[in-house]
Amino acid sequence: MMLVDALSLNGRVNLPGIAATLLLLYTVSSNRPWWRMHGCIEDQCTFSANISPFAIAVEILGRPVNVPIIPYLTLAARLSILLAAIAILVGSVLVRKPWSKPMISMTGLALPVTFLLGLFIGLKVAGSYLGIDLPLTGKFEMRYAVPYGGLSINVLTPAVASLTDDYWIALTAGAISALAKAIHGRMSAEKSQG
Amino acid sequence: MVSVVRIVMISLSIGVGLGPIVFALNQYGWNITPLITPSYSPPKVDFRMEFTGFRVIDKEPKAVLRLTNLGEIGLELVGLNATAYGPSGEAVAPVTLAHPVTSSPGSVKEVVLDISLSEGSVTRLLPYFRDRGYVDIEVKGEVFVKVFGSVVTVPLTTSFRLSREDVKALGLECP
Repeated sequence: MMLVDALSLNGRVNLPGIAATLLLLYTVSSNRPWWRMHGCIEDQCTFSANISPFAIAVEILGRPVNVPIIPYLTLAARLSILLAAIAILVGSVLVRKPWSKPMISMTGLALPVTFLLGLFIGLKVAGSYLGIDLPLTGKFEMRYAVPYGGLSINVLTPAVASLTDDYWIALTAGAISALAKAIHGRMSAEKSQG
Repeated sequence: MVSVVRIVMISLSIGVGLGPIVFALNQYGWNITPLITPSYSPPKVDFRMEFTGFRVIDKEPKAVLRLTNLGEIGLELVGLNATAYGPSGEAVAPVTLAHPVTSSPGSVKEVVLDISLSEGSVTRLLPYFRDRGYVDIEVKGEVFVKVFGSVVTVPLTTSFRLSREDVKALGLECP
């Protein structure tokens, strides 16, 4: 109870909610990738993928791969998180209003979790299609044969995949928003008992 | 009031989540195929190597090739693992790349191969020199090319003619 009182300034404001809002606003305003995969030697890259729910950029041999639906999907993700951030802020400031509870949503946590799950499934599907194992993180070598002028050319591409700091910030924002929801629930329970 | 806020929040969440996708579908005439089809135009990768001559530099035999880059991307020849074969298919000498070669799009570069031809190799080829005065040598192997952050292994087959004069220029005995 003491922790809930401390984190809510004795029921006046939901501090984790405000912290989650700030982190979510930072996350939604950033175009930096959450996950990246590069196949490069020195500064020359065979391919690069810089992916977040708000910006997806894939290049192969220095040329971009465009999928028309991507800007719309990233816009949907950005608007969803923006809505969640604003709602959490309103719910956290107007904590004494009975209708503030549904304002504290879990969207901030759902997005990084879904992102990771989607990425894992996407890599499995892409890997089985290409006949190679594509890991979520770590260094690896891609070996594949390309037909060229009647010959079979073997290609070796050293690659590295990693989750970036921005992913962990987004996950932290989501975890804090979950904490904010739990505190809000506890405060509502206290209020109804009192 | 709580139920109303909950309904409004759920409606808004669905609206902002699905709105852009519905808008996209509307923009593409409700045809999902062009919306999810990736578009990509790869750069042209086209390079050719052809034998241009045999040279003796500092009593070392060299096969010279011409590398023509007709593509849109630069490449670098970084290594060669090849063997020179005599007319009957016998291995006569290992062949390596004298130095790496960087080729930019549209350029024509000279590629020099070191042929480690020993006196023993020449001895094995003597009967051909006696008969015709020259020997046709075939080089087979793999060339290692760095292209845009990948190491590409390309099969290489080329041939050249080794004359009695070439062997003499090497300082080796030839009948």
